[in-house]
Amino acid sequence: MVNKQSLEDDLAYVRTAAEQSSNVHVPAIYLLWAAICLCGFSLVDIVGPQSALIGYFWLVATPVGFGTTIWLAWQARHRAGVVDRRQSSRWALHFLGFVSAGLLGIAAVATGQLTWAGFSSHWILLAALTYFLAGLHLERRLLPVSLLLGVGYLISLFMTGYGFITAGILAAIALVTMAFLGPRNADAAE
Amino acid sequence: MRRNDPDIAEIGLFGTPRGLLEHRVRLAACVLLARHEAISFSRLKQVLEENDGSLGTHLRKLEDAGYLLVEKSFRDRRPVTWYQLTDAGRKALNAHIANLKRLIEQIE
Repeated sequence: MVNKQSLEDDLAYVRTAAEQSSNVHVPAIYLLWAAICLCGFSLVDIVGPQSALIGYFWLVATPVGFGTTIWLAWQARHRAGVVDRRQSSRWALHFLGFVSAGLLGIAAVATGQLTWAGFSSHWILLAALTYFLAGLHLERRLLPVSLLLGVGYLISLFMTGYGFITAGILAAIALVTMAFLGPRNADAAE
Repeated sequence: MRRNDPDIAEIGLFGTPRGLLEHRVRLAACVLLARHEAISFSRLKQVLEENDGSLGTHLRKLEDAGYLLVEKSFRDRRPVTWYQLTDAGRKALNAHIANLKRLIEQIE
């Protein structure tokens, strides 16, 4: 005779364990991208949208940030005692899509269909969309970041002078908040 | 697999060797390992809220049945025991979940 209540309890126990098992929060990654977004977006207002410095910044910051993120995540997952290459590849491909779309956007500037200022705004919009999709499919906590980046995109369009600095500050605030709001990981690799 | 294991033989809900997965700790361990590539003993202990002795016994049973692969390594000079689900373990888990679904349908 199967005890329905005991079966339900067992399944609830398994579900809770499964939910907890994937919680590996890495605040350093959020802080890193908060710094990159703040500097990168603010540069547009500081040196002007035509400046080559912005391109150089993102050309260096993106792969360095990407590589550092992969290293930090790998370290954190091993410390937490969970190895999941499939999940890591999913994250990597997700943000690689964002970088690729951003770089392909340069073609629109090269063919004269988009100004550098317009491209910078679209870069923020792409970031908002990327964080929104990541929030939807990978990590729920990223949804507020996408919302603030969306607001930042609108501000960058309508607020002349300090629009990009404001967008950078909004993105940084969202990411820093996420860094400190996440669950604490106990060292479990023993 | 030790078929005379009282923990396995007594339950026998489906009358198959899959009785091994009828204990919630062993079922949860297999589900977690099906979701992730490898999990350390400490992480399993933390997530399943079990003590060393009890979890060790459950995992040994799964290992003896050929459901788990165990690998030992070192991190910061401390030993780490990693567990992975084998193909046999995955197959058994899928069959057990299918049986559970049927059972739930019957109850409902």
